[in-house]
Amino acid sequence: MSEIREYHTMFPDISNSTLEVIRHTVTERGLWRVGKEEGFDLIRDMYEKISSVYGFPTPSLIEDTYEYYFISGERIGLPKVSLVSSLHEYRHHMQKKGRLRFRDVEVDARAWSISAFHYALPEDFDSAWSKGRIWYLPPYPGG
Amino acid sequence: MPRGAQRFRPIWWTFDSRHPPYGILLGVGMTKIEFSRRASRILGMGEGTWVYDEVYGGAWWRITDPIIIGVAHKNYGRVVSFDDKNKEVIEVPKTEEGPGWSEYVLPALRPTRAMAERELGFIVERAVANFLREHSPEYRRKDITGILIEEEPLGGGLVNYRAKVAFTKVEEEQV
Repeated sequence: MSEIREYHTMFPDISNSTLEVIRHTVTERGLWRVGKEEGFDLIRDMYEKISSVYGFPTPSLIEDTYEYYFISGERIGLPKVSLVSSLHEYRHHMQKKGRLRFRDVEVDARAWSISAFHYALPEDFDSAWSKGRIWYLPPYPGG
Repeated sequence: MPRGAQRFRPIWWTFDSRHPPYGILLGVGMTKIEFSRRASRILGMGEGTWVYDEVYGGAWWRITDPIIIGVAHKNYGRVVSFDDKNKEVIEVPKTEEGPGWSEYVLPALRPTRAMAERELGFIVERAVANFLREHSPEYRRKDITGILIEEEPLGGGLVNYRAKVAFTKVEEEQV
């Protein structure tokens, strides 16, 4: 049922400022090394910075049981600290503000979030892909 | 055949012979007698002449069940609901499916933003429950990768929520 595509190459033109915010959040501030609470704060901070790049209001982020974006309330829920999931939900926020490249909003959000990870942190991306830790991607080509 | 499909058929037959454009009528927050009277008035039919007890006691009361609404859409094209406040028939939007997602329409009666936000958890749980009923055992709760919730004001204080549930076979947590 689910669709597998080369999502990581579908947005080759994400702004350098956005990619830099992602790099900074992961490598310098240690998104994957900190505890849950601090991780959520880092994602909030990342949302604020990316929103300033695009000139959008910053969506709120809460810890919840499922990943979701509540469009009218501009609220994101995440059950755990995940870079790709947080970017995926943020892309839905961008869609609300008129940014939509692919007609299917889920395809668009998968493509933007996975591409952002790929272009911001190529080595981490490869490692995560090879371990099957990015949803909706085809099997890792390296076997 | 999905549950509920057969039970709609006799009702459609009744409507079809007199009012083809309306499709199936669903009562919103009314007793059986109230619904019968009001809907009959709207459709210009005699009171109670078309209300089918068996259907009314089952599928019609389950108006917030996206699966039943989905079945009705699939079989009959259009589904309408009765807006008690404005005394008019309104169309229930069609649910959709795409690659790795299913959309459910959750009709609700929550006119204010504050109320809507309070019931966000309820909406999420409803969407998940409907997803599981439709896709399990092939897909499970852990396979839900995201939910996109849209509010759709219908006027007269009625709000529909569209919940698009994305899913895939999840083996590992996402990085």
